[in-house]
Amino acid sequence: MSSIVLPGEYIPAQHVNLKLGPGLLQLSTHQASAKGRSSQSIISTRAGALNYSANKSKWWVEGNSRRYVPAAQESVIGIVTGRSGEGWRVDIGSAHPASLDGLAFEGATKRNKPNLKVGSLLYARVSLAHKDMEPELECFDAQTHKAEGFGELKGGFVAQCSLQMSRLLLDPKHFLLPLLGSRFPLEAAVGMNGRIWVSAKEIKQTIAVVRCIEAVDPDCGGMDEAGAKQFLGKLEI
Amino acid sequence: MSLRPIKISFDALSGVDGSARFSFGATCTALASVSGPIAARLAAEHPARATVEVHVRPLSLVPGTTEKYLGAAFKGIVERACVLNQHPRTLIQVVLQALSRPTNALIAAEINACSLALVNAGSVPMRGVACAVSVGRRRSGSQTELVLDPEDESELLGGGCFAFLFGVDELPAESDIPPSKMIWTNYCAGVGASFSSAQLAQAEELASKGAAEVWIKMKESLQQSLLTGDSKMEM
Repeated sequence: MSSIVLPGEYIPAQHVNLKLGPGLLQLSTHQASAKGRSSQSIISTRAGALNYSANKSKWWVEGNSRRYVPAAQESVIGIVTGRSGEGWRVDIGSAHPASLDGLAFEGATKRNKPNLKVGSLLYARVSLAHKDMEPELECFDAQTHKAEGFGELKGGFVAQCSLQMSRLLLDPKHFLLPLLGSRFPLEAAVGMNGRIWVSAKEIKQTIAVVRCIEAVDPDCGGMDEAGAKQFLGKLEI
Repeated sequence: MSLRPIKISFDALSGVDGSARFSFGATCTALASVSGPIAARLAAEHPARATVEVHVRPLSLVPGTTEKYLGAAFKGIVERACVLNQHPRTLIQVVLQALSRPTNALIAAEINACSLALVNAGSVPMRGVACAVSVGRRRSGSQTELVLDPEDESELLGGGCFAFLFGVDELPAESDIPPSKMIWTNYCAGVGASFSSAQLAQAEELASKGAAEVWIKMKESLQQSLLTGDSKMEM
């Protein structure tokens, strides 16, 4: 189902309702339209595994990278770096810092705003991500306007990983977090920007979680489930 | 006529978004690292596209005018290879470290390492992969002949490095390898020699075959690193 493609390679994607996902670009060519052909070349723009949906209408390239590029509706972990007017400036690992409005929290009013300091950790949703503007965050769910897990993260530790690893951790079928959770109580928040917040009772448990994440990360080795179990057995927790 | 054995490895340097090492044989190696899209200095920001900066570091001594010239040449190559308008007001910073003595083959290795590092970073969309090889001109009897990827450049009558961009531009060619276009060269005749445009075309033809081999090796090494998580590949 998936083959590895390099940037610039031709992708044979053709469908009446074609939808191009990340990693694909449609070229606009003068020659193609002059000859009256309706299909224009689709090329891949990154290296990765080429995937398509069952009816071949959705195509995308799944690759790995470490630098986050903001996209709307993604949950990210941010660090507050300063105030700006009515809101805050938050670092989410992208090229430009994101802005978070002071009222973008559940139940916030002008008199009742959350008390964030420089260095506070946040779990927020990217509400606006346009290439020409700096990204904007919100700390509540779009439809219900309730917190739904977004907001300030107190305590814990943030570990960095590659973007593919954070996508794997968000998949409920992935083995790592349930494996760790079966050993000791664990709280984790996974940001799509390659940051993971973990909170466990003891420091050695937190360190064990961070080391397991680094070991299973496809960018740093990509250990499988058996290897991870063996690795966990060697750590004294 | 063939290239020296190519060695590619993705070293996972810390603090950067992508890195790669490329060698022709045992004596011509270059290391490249890429960070981007990151915040650009206000003076270097472009409102509609990303800014590209290429820093070249030689094996010995501090970077001088040659490195400045190569940096400007590679900047043009990177700007051709990447789609820059998806990340306006950002910076794509490429740092190249030469790990061998300066030759045309080293320039080719630097271009290849730069392309591989950009592909390894995966955060900047690219419209093609730039592959480069060096071609030399040497005397054989009373004629001059062209040599692909010469090991010893001291006895040549000229030569240079050719860079090709492998990417589909219009409709694809009927082959596994995307069509290539030559995008940069520094071919020159040696001291006291001269060359004709026909000879230059011959050199380009020979170099394009070599570059296609480089592309195939790049694809194999990326397939291996993406499928198995291994980061080293030797031919």
